[in-house]
Amino acid sequence: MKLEESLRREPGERPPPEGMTVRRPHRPGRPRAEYRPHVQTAGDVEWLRRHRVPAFLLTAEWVSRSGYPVRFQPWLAVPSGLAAKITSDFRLLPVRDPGLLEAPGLAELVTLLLRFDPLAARVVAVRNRGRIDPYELYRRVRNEGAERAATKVRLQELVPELPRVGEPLPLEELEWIEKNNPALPEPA
Amino acid sequence: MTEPEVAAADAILARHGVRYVVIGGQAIARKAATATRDVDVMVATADYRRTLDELRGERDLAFDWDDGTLARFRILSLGGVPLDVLDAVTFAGHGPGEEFFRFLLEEASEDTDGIRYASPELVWYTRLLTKRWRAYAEKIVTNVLDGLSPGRLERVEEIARRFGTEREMRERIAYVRAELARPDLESLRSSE
Repeated sequence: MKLEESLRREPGERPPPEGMTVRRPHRPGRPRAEYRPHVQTAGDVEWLRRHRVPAFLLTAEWVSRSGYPVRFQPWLAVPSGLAAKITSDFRLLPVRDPGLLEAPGLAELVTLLLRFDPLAARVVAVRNRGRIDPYELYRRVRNEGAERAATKVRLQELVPELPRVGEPLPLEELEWIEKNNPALPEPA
Repeated sequence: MTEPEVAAADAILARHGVRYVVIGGQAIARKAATATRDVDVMVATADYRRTLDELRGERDLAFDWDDGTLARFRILSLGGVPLDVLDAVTFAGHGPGEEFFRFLLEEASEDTDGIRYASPELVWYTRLLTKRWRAYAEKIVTNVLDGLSPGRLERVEEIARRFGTEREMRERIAYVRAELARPDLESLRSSE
């Protein structure tokens, strides 16, 4: 599969699992069958990723392991061009840059969190200060246009080059939020 | 299912005969996304001092501080998870703390597995009334993205009117509504 305006099966590729995609009627001038993914499970997301479709399931477990214990229903992050062409039982989190979803690490996690939980983004960034590449975080935040959320939670402390957009929250309040949610103990 | 942090707090508070309601993130967690570890409980004003005295003698707690209406302990068996005890008078406006605690018990909380949890709108009200309300406003936005209806803000306004805090709350609720209206959040909103 490859991401165009929609998903199309490439020559020689096996069809997707039954129930996971809806085959669109063939349109004149369109050489290959067009599919609309219906994503219901983490396995479906893995299937898409194996077929080079940039989709990523952002789970509370990943955020908790990264230093901010939290509970939320998973978000399915997909490129914004694909968001309208996908149906899912997961909530969709459209992103501008498909590269954000290729091999997400801590910088990408912080950038995704900025979209819906900037306080969590800050705590993950602060608690992983030595492990996040500031250049990578700068690039990801700029590509997603998340400068306002980044400013709100003072990510310039980690990436001074990030442009300031809007007003930051008071530092004391941010530190209070962090103190109230200690990281999970390291597994034995 | 009762979260382990709440279960631990409940066991301690029950040992000391403390009447309380869970507020804060652990109360919200039953309905929407939240950070999960710390436990906030509210007690009646008449019980606040006695509760602190009792808990200071508890083996599974370390006492951190008390500012007169909010005290922080740490649950040792959970590696130091904060347990905050709040005096209801903090949120009672010009009225007595007893009235606010009675309202919380009778009209703004519900029982789950034998533990009483505040409603989301009561939690939002308490959060917006604190001095750190801007950071808590962010949490309210996250709760709405996670499916809680922004219509609950009207209930927050009702609570504020009832306790005479509507003047200070007006600006804060308007701030939350303005944040919720941001165009970048539109595609992320789901409904309750």
